[in-house]
Amino acid sequence: MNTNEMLKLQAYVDGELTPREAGQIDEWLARDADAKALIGELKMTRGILSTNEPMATLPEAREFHWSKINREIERYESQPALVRQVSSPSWWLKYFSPLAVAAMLAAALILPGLNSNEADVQTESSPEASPVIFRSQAEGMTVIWLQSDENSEFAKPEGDF
Amino acid sequence: MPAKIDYATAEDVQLVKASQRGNMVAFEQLVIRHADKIYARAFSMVRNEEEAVDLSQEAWVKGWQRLKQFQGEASFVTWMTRIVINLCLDHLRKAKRQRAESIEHLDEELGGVERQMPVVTVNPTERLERAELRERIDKALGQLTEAHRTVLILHEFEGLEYKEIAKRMKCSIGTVMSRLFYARRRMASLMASWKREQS
Repeated sequence: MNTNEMLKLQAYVDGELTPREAGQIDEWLARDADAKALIGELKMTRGILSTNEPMATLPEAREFHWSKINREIERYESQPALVRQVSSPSWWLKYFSPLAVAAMLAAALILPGLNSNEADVQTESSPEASPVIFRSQAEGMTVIWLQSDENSEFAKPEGDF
Repeated sequence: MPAKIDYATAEDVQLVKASQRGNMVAFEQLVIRHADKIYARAFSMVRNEEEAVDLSQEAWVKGWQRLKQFQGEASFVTWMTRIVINLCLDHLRKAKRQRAESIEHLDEELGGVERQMPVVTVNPTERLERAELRERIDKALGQLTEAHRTVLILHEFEGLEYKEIAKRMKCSIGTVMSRLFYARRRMASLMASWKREQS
């Protein structure tokens, strides 16, 4: 019996198989004594454990336990509502962390472009140069370039936007 | 105006509704009533009294904070148990990151050990008193690794399906299945040794 077959037997015991798969196991059990013995052990262990869960008792007085809980709750309740919301990250992390990642990616893509434009401004900047801004809503992008009045073809990007 | 509550005899549902309106006495009653159950689940998972007390205390505070989200789909104690389980899983994950896994654990993860164990055919716990049996089971659970014990607890005691356990433990269903299989076979083997001790 290989590991997959053993795990399949366990899934059978736990009711995790489809009726068709369970039927195949029934057929297998009818002709394989080892599989039948293993199923018996798994069922027995499961039965013993599920009906004999160990018990544990709180090792301190319940009143003392409650007093500590109460103190924490009072501390929480005494905070302003906004602080309570901010200190509990689950609500904003859920919605804003994907946005933060997207913003960082966008910044990583855009900033080098902006920097190069700044370089262009420094090198090409002259009283004769004027900035040209192109915005495409459909493409979701903005292109800024400097257009020299004397040599407009130099600064203008190629292609028809 | 809500009716006056007899806190000692009120049902959980009544106490929860009162707590949701901000009634701390009602919430205190819920804590007193279920403190052992919540602590026991924490202890079963972390196996350390002090940590289990802290985690169960944290669970109750979290329970209060989220009480308005409790809609009553499950019982209040089941809902609280899920909170403490999640806290324990986070705690164990943090602790695991701080220490290297043992070679024994790695062997178990690779599989193979459980296949070599002889199958136990006779119930080895037949003659044991219930209290003694529970005590022995507790000790045997303590001999499992955290990962195996957790899967066993979530499946056998909490009745969660493979898929739900995988989600909570952030692992694959295949991992859940192999860990559960190993844990069960190891428990069977430990129980068989009790039988040998008796005879």
